[in-house]
Amino acid sequence: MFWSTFGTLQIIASWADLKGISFFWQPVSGYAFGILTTLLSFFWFFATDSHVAPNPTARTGEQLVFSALGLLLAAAITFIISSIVKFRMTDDLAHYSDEHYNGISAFRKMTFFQAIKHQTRNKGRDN
Amino acid sequence: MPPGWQLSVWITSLAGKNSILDDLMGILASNYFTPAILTIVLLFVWLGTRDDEQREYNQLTLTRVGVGVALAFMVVVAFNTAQSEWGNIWERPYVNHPEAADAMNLLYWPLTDSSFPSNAITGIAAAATGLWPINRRASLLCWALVTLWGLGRVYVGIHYPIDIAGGMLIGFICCIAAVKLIPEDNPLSPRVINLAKRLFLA
Repeated sequence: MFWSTFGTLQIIASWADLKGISFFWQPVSGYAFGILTTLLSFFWFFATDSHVAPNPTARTGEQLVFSALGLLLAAAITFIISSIVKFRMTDDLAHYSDEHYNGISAFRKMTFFQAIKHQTRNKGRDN
Repeated sequence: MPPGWQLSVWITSLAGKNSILDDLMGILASNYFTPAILTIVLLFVWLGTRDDEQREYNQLTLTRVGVGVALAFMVVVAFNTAQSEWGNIWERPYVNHPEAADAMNLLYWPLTDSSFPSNAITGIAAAATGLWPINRRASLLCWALVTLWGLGRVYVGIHYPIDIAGGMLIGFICCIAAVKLIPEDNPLSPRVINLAKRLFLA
């Protein structure tokens, strides 16, 4: 789940123009990386018999929890890597109004670390 | 025996005759392939839209679909609890038919809970139904996957076709009920989305 989500997030970043969470400057690279990672994750998982239940008594609930963890971990690592790779993405964030930092729309203009920084700064201003 | 058991025996008797088909059905029947694809589709619907308004509509609708999926799982738990209390409506195919037992031993593993309804199919069918008002092609793709998943689970001898059909029906009804009964302008969905936005997850 981790690798397929990791790849899918790069495809989404390219598709939805979320430059701040893409590892690449060109969308085509994001598509290529995302599709390759997602396909390889499936190939690796099913070609290596990993899908044969490691724990036959595993319940649907446990699987849901592990899937959700894999998904969140993939998102967290994507946010961190893209923030490092694109630390020079925006040099003057003061130009952007609050609506630019609204949820994932922020990633059109800035990276995760930059968005966090501005969210924190704006909260301080409000207080 | 449940209705349609003959079809189940016919499908499961194909196992062990063609290794490519066996591998394919083993993958389809597993608890990983269809849920992983569905997660990718849901991720696309949740995040992968260029239009902010459309994305917000998708996310608000998906919160109501989430309630439908939860409702479907509650119905499944109720069925399972009732059957563990009073006995199963019917046993799994691999208990009743030697062909299914051979298929299960070859491609899967024994399951301990009740056969009707298929737990996994119920939840995924609810999610696939919920995608319909957002993206019909995605919904149809998910329904096709649910059907193949069900076919795989009949092939490996762990479900009868009626377990699959029952799961699909319960998932469908629960999702429709949740989406119809919870108003679009309910106060909770925007709160969930706002929280997710603060965490940069929506």
